[in-house]
Amino acid sequence: MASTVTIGGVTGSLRWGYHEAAVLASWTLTNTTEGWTLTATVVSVDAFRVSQHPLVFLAPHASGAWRWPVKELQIMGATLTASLGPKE
Amino acid sequence: MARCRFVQPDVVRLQLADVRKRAHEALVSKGVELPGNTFRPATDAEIAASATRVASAVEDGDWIDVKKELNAGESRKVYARLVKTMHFNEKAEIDPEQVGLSKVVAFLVGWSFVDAAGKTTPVSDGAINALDGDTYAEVVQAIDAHEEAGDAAREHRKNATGDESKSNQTLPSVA
Repeated sequence: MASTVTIGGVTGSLRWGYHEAAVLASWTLTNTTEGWTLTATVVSVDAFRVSQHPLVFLAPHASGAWRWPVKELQIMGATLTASLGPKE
Repeated sequence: MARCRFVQPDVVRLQLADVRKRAHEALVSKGVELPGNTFRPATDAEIAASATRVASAVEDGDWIDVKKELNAGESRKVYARLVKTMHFNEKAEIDPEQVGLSKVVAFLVGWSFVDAAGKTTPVSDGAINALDGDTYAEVVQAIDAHEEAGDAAREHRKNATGDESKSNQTLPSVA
């Protein structure tokens, strides 16, 4: 039986190297058999940086941040949807 | 294929012990610098003290992560942060508090430094200003050496590919 794991957070960001490419809020990560899918509200975005590779999604926690590589992303208005690779 | 003209956000790790190693090598080969760009030979005690400082830095194993290269916007920010006032046809007034610091802030992205509780501290203006004087000076020297090496490498690449001569060529107008 396929299982789905969903986690969420209040703040997050997309990074291109050390540059902040986007600031995200109210994000949700869903892990299915096909991998991780990120849905988030875009607070701010740098159009150039967000179009570069490699991009990483950063979810902060108490002692640092979890990181997932971004495989594909789409921004529609204030909503971002991305498919992510395995957590680094 | 056209070359990419955008600076990639690559990071370089610099060992702080290398700063002391370079200072030690200069002390051994050139001696102690005196006013007027003159040197006197270093004494055995000075060389021994310098060697101890190198050994201590190697033992610490501290490092800093810096941007491989600043992009145009970051370079402008270094200059803008450094200048206090600037008026047309007048010399710019430099903010002495920002000398060295503006470049450190622009380049530095990470370090191995820990606080009193042994916790790694993120890089910030406040954390940089809270460093002890010797550590701050080593960070400045490490970044200066990194920048000089980068400038030299870019100059070499430019000369090797003849980019400079190409960029100075004026193409005939099609009009």
